Amino acid sequence: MNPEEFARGSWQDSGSAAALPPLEDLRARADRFRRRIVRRNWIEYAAGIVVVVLFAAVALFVPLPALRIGAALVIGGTCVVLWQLRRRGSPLSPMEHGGQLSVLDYQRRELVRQRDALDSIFTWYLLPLVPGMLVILASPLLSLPLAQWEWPPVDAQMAMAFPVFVFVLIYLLNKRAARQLQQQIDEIDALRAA
Amino acid sequence: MEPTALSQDEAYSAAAEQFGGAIERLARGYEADPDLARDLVQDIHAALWRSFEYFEGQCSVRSWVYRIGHNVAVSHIQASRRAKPPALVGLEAIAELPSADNQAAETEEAQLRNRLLAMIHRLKPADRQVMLLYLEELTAEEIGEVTGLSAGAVATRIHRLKALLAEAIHPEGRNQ
Repeated sequence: MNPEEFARGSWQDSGSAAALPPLEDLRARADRFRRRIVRRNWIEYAAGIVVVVLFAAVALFVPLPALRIGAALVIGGTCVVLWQLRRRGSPLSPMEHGGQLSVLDYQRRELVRQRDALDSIFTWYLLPLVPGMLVILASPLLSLPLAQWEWPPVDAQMAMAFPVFVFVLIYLLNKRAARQLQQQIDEIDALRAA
Repeated sequence: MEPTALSQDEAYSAAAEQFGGAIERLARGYEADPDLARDLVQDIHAALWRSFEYFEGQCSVRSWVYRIGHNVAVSHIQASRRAKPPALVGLEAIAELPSADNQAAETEEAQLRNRLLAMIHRLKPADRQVMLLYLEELTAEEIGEVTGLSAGAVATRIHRLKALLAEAIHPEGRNQ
């Protein structure tokens, strides 16, 4: 017996199957997995719905027309983001796709999906919210006649710069994460091509 | 007479009966903690049962089962790795099978098995997959079908792991 045969024999003798799990248990476990996915999707939608409700209240009840327009634009932008979340789909499921794809294909497809979402974060996640955010930030000025416009005081400028800073930070962090995912994709491609 | 297609439950039961032992070993190859390995076995069985909804003979049942098993296991270790990153190495970097604990009380074969398992746990995912599939006696072509590695990459890895096994298992040691 050569070393490989010895190792294989030893490995295969090392464990026999315990009793198979009852089908009812498997159904329950598989359903739990599906429910987790559905719950995660609903959490995303629920967050979007909260934003829509809050800004709808602003759009309906705040007397400043510029603020109302800004809130309406935020609602529109949030709807675009929610639609994009739905369009971009859920992660691959091992149950549905795990048998149809090799391990590397499965990993690569999932990494590409995540990379594309992160890499284009500006166009599908940030940009739809930008018009509403800008109009809301500028609403104190927009509510005044043009002749009365003044450069805002420093503390107001800082307050206005903060959301812009957050948007830029989100963009840069997502871009960096996309580059890291691209490295993993390159590693997989190198393995497949070797 | 036309052969009747198996129902999802029947297809799963037949596959689980045939590959149940391999699924247990696969789970132990990915997860060192016995409780988590048992949980991983259950996850693989659940995924396998559900997967037969989608099985239309795209590949052999054997490749299907191993693809499900490894894809579920990779997702499992990726989740664990996010919590606590381990130090993994490739086949080219492992000089010999590592020592396992409690060797004195074990038979030679149990020692070898534990050293083998300890080495498998240290391997990078692609090398680990080739090793586990090789130990289950899949052909190089089947290993490529399950892992997605090119034929050349599989052949290189099999060559390395054969050398590693030959170095670790000496014929005189086996016959004692």
